[in-house]
Amino acid sequence: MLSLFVLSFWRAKGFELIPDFTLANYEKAVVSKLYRTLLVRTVLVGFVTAAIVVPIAFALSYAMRFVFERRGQLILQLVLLSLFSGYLVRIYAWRTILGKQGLLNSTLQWLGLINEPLEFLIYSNIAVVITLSGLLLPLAVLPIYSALLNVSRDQMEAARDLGAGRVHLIRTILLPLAMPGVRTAFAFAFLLAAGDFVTPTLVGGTQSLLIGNIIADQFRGIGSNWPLGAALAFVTIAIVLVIYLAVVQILARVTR
Amino acid sequence: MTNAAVEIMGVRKSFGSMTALEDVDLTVADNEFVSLLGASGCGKSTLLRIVAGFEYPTSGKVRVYGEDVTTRPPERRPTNLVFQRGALFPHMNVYDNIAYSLKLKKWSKKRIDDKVEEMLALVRLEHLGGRGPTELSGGQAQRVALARALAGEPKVLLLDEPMSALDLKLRQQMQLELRAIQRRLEATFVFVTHDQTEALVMSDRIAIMNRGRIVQVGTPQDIYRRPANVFVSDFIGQTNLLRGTVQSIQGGVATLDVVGTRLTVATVTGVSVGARAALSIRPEAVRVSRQESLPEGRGVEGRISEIIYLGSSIRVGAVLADGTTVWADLRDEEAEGLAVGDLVKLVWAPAAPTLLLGDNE
Repeated sequence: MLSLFVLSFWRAKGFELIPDFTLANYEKAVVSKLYRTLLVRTVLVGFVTAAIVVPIAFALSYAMRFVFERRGQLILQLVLLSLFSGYLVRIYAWRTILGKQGLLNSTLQWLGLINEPLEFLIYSNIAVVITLSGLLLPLAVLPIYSALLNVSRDQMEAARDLGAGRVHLIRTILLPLAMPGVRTAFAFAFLLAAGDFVTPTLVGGTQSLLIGNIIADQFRGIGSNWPLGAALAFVTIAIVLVIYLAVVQILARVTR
Repeated sequence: MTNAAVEIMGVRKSFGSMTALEDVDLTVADNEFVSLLGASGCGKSTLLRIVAGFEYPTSGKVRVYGEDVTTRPPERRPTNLVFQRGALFPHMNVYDNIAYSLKLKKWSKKRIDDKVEEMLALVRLEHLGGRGPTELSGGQAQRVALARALAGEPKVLLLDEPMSALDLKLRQQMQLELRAIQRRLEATFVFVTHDQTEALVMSDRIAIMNRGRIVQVGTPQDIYRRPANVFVSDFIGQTNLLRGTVQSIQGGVATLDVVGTRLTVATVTGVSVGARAALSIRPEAVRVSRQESLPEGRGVEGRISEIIYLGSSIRVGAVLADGTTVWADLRDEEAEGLAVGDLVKLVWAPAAPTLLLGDNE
């Protein structure tokens, strides 16, 4: 990490790396229209993915903890098991679901809800977000579920007994007590989605490349530029971190 | 009924094939302290949870001050519950815990401050408003739970064994405090416990439950002196049960044959000649005598098997011909000269025993 940071101030000349102290890489990263577009898209995709994943993970964890109770542990094992099936396999699985002749399109057609396959389901930003959400959901369930294990049924009942309706119960009791887990889940979903470059390659379209793809390109093959890649990576990290901290602040304020 | 705080009418509750409550009727009056007393699994907590709104009865009705609340969720009932383990909110300090229901009611800051202060004073924790729940002792946590439940000024306060986790000394002290608080606030309390002493100390009336039914309701004295059946007399305090067959009923007096001795007792309705019945006598009503003759109808013969020193009294056990042990609580001087193996007469005053029907167990 540190050597990467040092590298971001160097220069690349052909295939050679020249030690230097230049901000040129950072300048390029910030000023270039292409990089800016990609950065904005990356942050948006990451944020939307996290915004989809965290509430679903919260609902699932809630059900596992308070609806299924004992069986919740079993469901947790199944969730863990799904992680073992491998990253690439799961992306390809989403391709078969979202594809033009995929599961979703054929089902909708069979039901007569649509006549033509929905094109935007694959090779688009939506496809990237859906796939990333599917990939990251299990990772988000883990921390939230374990945080909810610390909330007792008595505490929930006490809140209702004292007059809290469902919304108030979630806002004043469940969310604050599960907050460490929600924070971790948001961090997982946001950071991993924003850092991914395999998913856009496989299910994304020409307009769905993320900054991760460009960064990866800087580190391999012809036209690679390690210092620029490192600078791009640090700009991305900085932006993502700022947004993450802002979201944590907002969450803390809402649930106080 | 105008002064009924809680009316439980024909409440039945089953969980799957298991029946937790069968046809329970109970009325709690305004300002009354009623305990639901029974062993674990008797349905007392289920009944309380039905009044609180956490369970809905399979059939039957619950009214609170005349209003039918049977199907109302807990957040919209005029009752509050003190949980067995407090269930304080760990992310809030004592003040915020107590203020929880008041903020929901959108009280003004000033009014909430005053109320929380009043509640803290009531449970004598004036200076602990800023503490977190983990910084409290067990007794303090239960006081905060009580304050939190009372702050919203519920019409009826429900308490689910709130002291069962405390040690004996603290429990005894809190029993008196709780009783004093109930009187001061002129509030209606329904208290669930498995501890008969606790129920006797605090309650205006006690409802004794067994296997999903209320088997007797009455004042502590009623229940102690005139238990309705063998279960109650056995459950409340120590008692001697002398089982036998009813020989005759004459002039309000029933005569029982117990191990070949005829014993007399005031009859109760429903007794018939030839029925199995039991005579219940508290140990403190039994005296040990070495006289030759047995007083007519109110004494049996036994051999002393045990002498136990209890501090304030001495408990003497004597075995009858059929192997039943009869216990007598004596003062020091009454027990003087008694020794294990002595053949003695166990006698009591004519009004001391109670006739109990049935011979269950």
